[in-house]
Amino acid sequence: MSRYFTRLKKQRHYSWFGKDSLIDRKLQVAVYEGLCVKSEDSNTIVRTGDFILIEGDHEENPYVARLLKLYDDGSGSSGKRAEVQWFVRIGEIPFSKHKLLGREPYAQEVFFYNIKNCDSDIDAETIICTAQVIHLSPETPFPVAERKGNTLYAKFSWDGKKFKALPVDVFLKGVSCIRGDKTLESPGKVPLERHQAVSIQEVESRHSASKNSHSKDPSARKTPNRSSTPGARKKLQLSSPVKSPKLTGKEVLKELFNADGVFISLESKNSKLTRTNSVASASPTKANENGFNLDTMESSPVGKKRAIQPTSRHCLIPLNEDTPAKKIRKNTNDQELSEDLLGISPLNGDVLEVCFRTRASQKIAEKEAAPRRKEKKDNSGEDRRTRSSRNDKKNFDNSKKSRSSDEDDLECETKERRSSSSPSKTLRSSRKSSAQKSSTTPNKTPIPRTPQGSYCATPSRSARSQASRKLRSLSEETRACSEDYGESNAEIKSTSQTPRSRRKCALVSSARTQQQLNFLNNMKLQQEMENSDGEDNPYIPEKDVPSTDEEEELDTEIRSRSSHSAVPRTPSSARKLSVQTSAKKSIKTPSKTSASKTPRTPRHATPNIPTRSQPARKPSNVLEEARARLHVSSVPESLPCREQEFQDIYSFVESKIIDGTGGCMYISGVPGTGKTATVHEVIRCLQHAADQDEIPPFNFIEINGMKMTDPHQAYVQILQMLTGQKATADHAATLLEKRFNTSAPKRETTVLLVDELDLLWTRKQNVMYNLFDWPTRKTAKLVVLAIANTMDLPERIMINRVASRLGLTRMSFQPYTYKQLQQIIMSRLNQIKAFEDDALQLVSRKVAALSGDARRCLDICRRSTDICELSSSYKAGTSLVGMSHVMEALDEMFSSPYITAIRCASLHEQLFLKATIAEFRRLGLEEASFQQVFQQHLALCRVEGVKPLCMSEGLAVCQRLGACRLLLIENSKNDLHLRVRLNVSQDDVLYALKEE
Amino acid sequence: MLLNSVLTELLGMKHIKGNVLIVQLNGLLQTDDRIALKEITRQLNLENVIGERVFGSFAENLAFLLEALKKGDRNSSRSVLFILDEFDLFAHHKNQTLLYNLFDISQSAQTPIAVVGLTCRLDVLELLEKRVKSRFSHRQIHLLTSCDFKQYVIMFQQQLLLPEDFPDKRFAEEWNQNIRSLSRDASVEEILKKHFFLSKDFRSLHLLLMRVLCRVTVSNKTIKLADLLEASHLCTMDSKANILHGLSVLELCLIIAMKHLNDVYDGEPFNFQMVYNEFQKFVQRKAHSVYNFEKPVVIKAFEHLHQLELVKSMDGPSVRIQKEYQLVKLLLDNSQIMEALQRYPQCPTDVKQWAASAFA
Repeated sequence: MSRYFTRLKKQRHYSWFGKDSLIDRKLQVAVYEGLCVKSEDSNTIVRTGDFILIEGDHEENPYVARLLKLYDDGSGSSGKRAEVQWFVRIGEIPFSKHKLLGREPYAQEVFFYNIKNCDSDIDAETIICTAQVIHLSPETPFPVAERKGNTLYAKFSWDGKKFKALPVDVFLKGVSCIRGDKTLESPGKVPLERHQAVSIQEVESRHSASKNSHSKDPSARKTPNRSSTPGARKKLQLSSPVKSPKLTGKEVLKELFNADGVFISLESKNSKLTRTNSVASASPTKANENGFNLDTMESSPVGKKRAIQPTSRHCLIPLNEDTPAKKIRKNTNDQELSEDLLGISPLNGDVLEVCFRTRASQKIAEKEAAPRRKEKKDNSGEDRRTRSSRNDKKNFDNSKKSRSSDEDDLECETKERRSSSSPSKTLRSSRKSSAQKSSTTPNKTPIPRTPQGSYCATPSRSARSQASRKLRSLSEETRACSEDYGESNAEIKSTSQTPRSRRKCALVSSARTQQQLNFLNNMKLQQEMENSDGEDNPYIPEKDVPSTDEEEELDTEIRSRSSHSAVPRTPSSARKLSVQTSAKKSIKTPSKTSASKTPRTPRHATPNIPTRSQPARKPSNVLEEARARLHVSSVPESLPCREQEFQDIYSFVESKIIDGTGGCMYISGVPGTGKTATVHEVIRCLQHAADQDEIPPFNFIEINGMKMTDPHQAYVQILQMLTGQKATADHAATLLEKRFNTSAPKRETTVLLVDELDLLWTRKQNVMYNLFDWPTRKTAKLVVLAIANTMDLPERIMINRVASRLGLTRMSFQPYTYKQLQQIIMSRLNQIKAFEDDALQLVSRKVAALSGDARRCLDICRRSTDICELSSSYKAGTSLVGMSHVMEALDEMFSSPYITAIRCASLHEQLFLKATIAEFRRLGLEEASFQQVFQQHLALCRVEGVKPLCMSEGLAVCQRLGACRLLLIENSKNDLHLRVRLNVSQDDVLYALKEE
Repeated sequence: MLLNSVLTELLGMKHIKGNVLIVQLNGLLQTDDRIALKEITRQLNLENVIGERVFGSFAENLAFLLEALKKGDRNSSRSVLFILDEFDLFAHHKNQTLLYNLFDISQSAQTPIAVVGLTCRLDVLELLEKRVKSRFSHRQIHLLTSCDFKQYVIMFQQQLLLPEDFPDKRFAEEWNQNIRSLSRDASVEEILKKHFFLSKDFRSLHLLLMRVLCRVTVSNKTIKLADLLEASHLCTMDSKANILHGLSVLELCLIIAMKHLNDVYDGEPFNFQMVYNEFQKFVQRKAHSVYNFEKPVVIKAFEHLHQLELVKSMDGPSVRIQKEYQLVKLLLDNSQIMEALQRYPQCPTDVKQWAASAFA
């Protein structure tokens, strides 16, 4: 399970595998069929259509995706790019959305990432290795046994808002969308019979539109693909069609006939089968046109279809379907069988199911083989080629646009080559020639070789497969399986293209490929199949080059799974073996793919405050209602008087989210001016917009400097809210650093609200530095909204590099004016008539003059409703809050307590205060020692005719005054010499004492 | 503070509903947020939710508690009443994190909580940080004893009167009779007035009455004026003057020498050597009755004064200076010294004269 972990840490070398199949001269883009990943202990070839693991934040949880296209943008060594269809792990989905799943996420679960505008273009050098994604219907439980290896399970798709059950054809649809294939074109070109069949098939087929499109495509022959492909590619394609018609004309008819026959038989038995047949029939036409002999392609579509069937109908269904197919097809093609097996194995986690499927697949393969044979009858060499071509076509169809374009290019090339060699030649001769070619120029002309290689290889494959079976040890079963595939493929393919290193790689990666195959089967995606073929091919090449080359080409085209290609060729024995192997694989792979990721169970359930025994009282009258509404906590419907700020922040965040960039904004303002509330309001609106699909979804995280014990805890909190992980501050910092530094195109923009920013200040300021540095990273997609009170915080406490990163996007919230305060209260009261207008105005004016703090304003209003209620309870009537009530509340809040406190003090305390003032006047200082003041006090006592105090009593008096902070006094250990100061102004004291 | 405890009692009786959880914290006990958080979780009985998990770090606790308090809403969870005694001490916690969070929760639509802070300081609000202050509701209730003397006397009566349902009716009647007559007595009134002028709070009154009641015995069944006088005298005694009465003549002489030094140098600190010189002058010139003690003996006496804290050294204890030259200050006032001398039994007259003379 940790195989790729270790690899992760090692240096990996990436090199293109196969020939660049299409070159866009304008864009300087070369598309490749595979990527060879070399690490210290193994080499892996990743092909388009494969499921791959991509370097991500966590070493344990690399990103999962399916490779759609590999290309080189010509920008030098680092120009290796890849286009992928993302899958997300549960951990990559915002933590807050986990509950939408409604259950505990399975550790190995992935979700089809169904968000359109995510960046699917990645650096190919972040690819780690291949993986296996298995589609499960939502009802089926996850396999209980822990699987070791890179096997993942897909049940649902995730579109940023909710989980949807992953329909069987989701993958295909996605593919078709990407390809932009148009099925409609095909019917016109296709003869009526075919056309009807196709249409019927389409209607009937539960399979993805893409398949249908593929099936049609063959008839249409690549034109749809071309339409989708960019201009440069189109040109190439255009050239190809011209060539194709010539070839097609004759072959098409034959194919049509074949297809018809097949269709009839198949249709009677199973619509799916018919479809496959139709596809096959269609494919031959393409093959004829293209001159590709792609056994693998044939196999791949079949496998795909089969795979689809099982997934959709579960395991049992395929058997039924297969049985008729068996009857029909007595002569099964090894290739087909192998393909079937492959397709089956992934689907069925259980051995039994696998066996069933294998049988079914064999039957299917037989069926498929039958049509092919018919075709063969028409033109033996051509038939074979047509089969291969069918496969190719299917593969092409399946393949994404890019792949299709690549294929087209390849096709063009192959056509040219074929025109020279293949078309005229018999199949065998062509094979030979292709083999020779392949040996000479493996990368360039893989396609023509395939048919030849496949034919030759089939017999040998069986033997090899058997040998391989023997070789398989339990521990290495997966590898062995892969090897078997590889061997079979290799046997088939005599071409020198596939290097031995590839074989090794293949062995190592065979497990992966198998997993991938499984995934592919599950997904039913032809693309996947193609990819897997491609992968298999690399393995195969070790043994038999030619076929592998072809397969590789196919793979590049999109159909990755070499195993399919190889399997079809292998004899029945090979099939059986393959079946067994597949079963073993399926069994073993799961065990290997143990949930390497420890499930993130919350460490402790957050406790709830015990629920109350009685429900909270509902407000019973106007005043209570008003009070409830005036509570700061009640969320207002809107935030009046902050429209401008709201707009600014909204547009700022929105633009960042839409652009997928990052940015910082600093918001300042005195307390109670609605900073946090406004930001929250903005987020609410944005989230609403996101729900409406107006803007991409995003993550919102809020941290508060006050709510953490230490600035470094910010990391912990951010990490926990992002991923649900818990970590120490240091570790969290590194994790976050890594997360924001690695590119993850499908990651949602994160909006981070940092409240009370000034409390995140540390001596080195590294917390603030990081917070403001992350948004500047290209890959972070982080928007930081920092809130603090002081306007010049950046200048005051931040060192330059932090301040500069914060940028100049600032906004300051001015204190509310009295009109605004009045409006706020009015809006909160919302038509409840509880206040007199004058009273409101008084409150708002008073508060505005003091602080402009809306909280204070609301507090006063609430207090005055209290007072009003109390007074009205005496009078039992008037419920309006009037001026007097408000005045009372204001007095309560704003009047200084000192004067009343002095008035209530005892005589000696008052005298002592007087003495203090007298002493101050005498000294001309604002400070005196107790001894001095006490002398004054004694003198005053004599003047006032009060019995003087002794020293101890005097000290006690002094301490009492100090306790309530009328006096500021020193620590009492200084005794006589403790320093005394007044905490109130002398005028206040005199004023308070004068009246007595 | 007294009234506040009454207030919580009232609350406790009223909420038969059981809707309220009360958390009581004291600034003297919960000296920082960490302890306070633990105490809160303990009092809220949240511990069991944490289970066997070792009580986590400060940060975890904070997050935990915030989470817990955040979860509730107005309708489902019980109200929590936080009573923060010695509120001002909470304001000294780092960043006032606890206060901020409590106030913030009380101001947001989370678990309904009420925070009541008790303090004797009138200026607590100024201790709060501005953002904490903004979240504070600014409801302040000042408990000031604004009674006048009549009320004070009534309070005095009420404290002493026996209730009607006292088992021994006859005794209760006698007692109450005595109390009423006492409160009309002029001298009693004077004593009470003195206390009233000194301090209006009832705790000091209680202290006084307690002393009085301690003198009530089986044989001495009623409070007498003398008892009250005695108690009052005890309450208002000057502790330092009393100490002076227990000093030896030598120590008294040293005190006087210091007083003279204080006069001469206007309160500047002095050291033992200066005091000794002063003492030597007195002994050589005027002393008739005072024996000329040796220096070590005088040092011993000086140290005794130091231990009685009649003399306070100016430097910290860490300063390593010879004892004779350590700077010290006298913690007595001249009036105290003179009074003590007057009362000192068998005080040598030459010493008295020396003390009274302006110049030694």
